[in-house]
Amino acid sequence: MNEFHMWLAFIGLGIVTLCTRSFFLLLGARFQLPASVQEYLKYAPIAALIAIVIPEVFYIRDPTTTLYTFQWQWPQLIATISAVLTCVITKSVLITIFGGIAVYSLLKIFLPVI
Amino acid sequence: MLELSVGLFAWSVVTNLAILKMGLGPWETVGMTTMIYAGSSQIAVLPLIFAEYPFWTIWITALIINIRFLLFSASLQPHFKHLPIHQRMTLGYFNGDMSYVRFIAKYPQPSPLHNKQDVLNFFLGASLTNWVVWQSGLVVAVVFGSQIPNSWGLEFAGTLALVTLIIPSIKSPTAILSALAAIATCILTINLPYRLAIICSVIAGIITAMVSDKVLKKGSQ
Repeated sequence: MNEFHMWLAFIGLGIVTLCTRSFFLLLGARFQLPASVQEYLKYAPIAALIAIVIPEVFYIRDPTTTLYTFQWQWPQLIATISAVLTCVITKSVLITIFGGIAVYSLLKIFLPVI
Repeated sequence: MLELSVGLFAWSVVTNLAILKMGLGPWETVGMTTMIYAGSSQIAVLPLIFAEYPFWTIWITALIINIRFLLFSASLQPHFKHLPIHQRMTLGYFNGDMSYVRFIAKYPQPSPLHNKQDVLNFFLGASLTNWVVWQSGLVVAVVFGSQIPNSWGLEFAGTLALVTLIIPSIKSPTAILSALAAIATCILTINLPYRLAIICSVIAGIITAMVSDKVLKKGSQ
């Protein structure tokens, strides 16, 4: 793909992304969401984030087939469990992130490659 | 949001490094990340671009990966429907995962008690921080590139930042059931194309919350 085509693809991607992110915002006052639906939409982002996190922790992705296969990855798993506990106990974002990175890095360095 | 920035920054560095390593030049990476500003979906479509897939395949892939934002924008709409269209579009551009979760945790539904300006300021504060931090990660990735060692565990910082967003939001029995449904659905649908697992999990999470709210309410009566 030449330079021009690539930028064309990027511009299209920019428009697609902008449209999905602002779709209902763009409809403005013409669109009225029932309050009951509004109430349950608050569960959407957490479910989305969970679906982003799970593959990172429990799966490896084959770059050629792009398929995910389940695999025990101890550094990821233990670091995530420790991050969940740290987050519940300390309620601190910073401690959770730095603690998690420390656990993850140490395990990666010291656990023998399986 | 500032605390979350640590994880977000590392995540941005890693994502943009990955884009550079896939073979995109520095200026193209800067252009792509600024124009599209969509993190993981950029990584998903790049192989399609390099393999010269037709434009519509590339664009539809990005559309489906981003489809959760359609729902996010629906819940932002009542807060900002009074604004002129160009401002609403600007808010849409800046609508990112992390800042959205922060915003909706503070303002789940519009209320006459909220000052409209406060609500807007909070959204702008969170989402502009999100944008600035992401672009700083881009600059660091482009400038320092391969000098950043792999052993720092940076690639996991984004996941950890997401954990700190997820955990505090799960505080009711309904939220627990909704999260469990999302986990189960994600595992069952993980190999669907276009990362459809994300939107499947979202739908399962919402439906489970509706059903369990009804059942729990009935039980308590």
